[in-house]
Amino acid sequence: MRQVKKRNIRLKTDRFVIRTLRDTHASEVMVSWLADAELMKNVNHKPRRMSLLQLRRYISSYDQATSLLVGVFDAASEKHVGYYFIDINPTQRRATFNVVIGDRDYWGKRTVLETRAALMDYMFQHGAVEKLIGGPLARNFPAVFNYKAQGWKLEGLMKSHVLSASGTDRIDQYQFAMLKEDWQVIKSAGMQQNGLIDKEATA
Amino acid sequence: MSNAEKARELLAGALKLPEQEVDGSTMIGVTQQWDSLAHMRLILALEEALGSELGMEAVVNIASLSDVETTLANAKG
Repeated sequence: MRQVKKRNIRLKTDRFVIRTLRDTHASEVMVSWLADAELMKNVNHKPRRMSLLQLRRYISSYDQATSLLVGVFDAASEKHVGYYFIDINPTQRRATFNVVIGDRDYWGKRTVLETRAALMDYMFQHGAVEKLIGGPLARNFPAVFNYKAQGWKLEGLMKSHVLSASGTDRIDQYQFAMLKEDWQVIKSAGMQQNGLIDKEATA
Repeated sequence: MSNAEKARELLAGALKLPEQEVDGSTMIGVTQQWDSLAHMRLILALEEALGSELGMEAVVNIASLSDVETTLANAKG
């Protein structure tokens, strides 16, 4: 089987730096996000209070080859504001995106649109990926907005698709997708200029 | 209040804009104030106005003022 190389991502946008998380990025701030019921509900993870050591192990559990954990940092203050976890299927040349913006000061400020655009560019240009998938839970309205606003196409409405993290009920989920060629069309149409997508990031 | 008037009121409230600034050109991807939190406020306001949760199809189809009006009309049957 072909070996998938580890990635060391470092991207810069107007307002953010996006980089591969290392165990040295473990912090009490990130510990608090993983224990935050509201944040974890949006990605259907059970909130869990970790020690810093456990968080370091958690970060290290991502192989950074097909399972990426990528931090979002404020470029001006270097403050850690969130993270992406991305699963890559190299056989299918497909990646699944998930995001947590842990710092609520960055909600409603197009943080996801700006940072995900940079990651999408990276994945299509350097990640050997041709299709991206996003699966927001049905009641995660901000996430649904972000996929629509960024031009992702709705592929499905999946009723009772996932078991809740608590294991008590089943949850509806959307599937959005972006093909490499569609992303090029969106970018070339200049949709960044009208506020739909923030400026292109540079790797 | 007509569905059109109610739609404008709800969308203006969610976007925190005066009602007279909300019109047919107000839509996701165009209107700067229509961000992720405004979108959440809009869906929750719609559900409160209708007294029930919106279905998945309705939620994902809302991207403009006319979509809000259509959602109100459809929900009222």
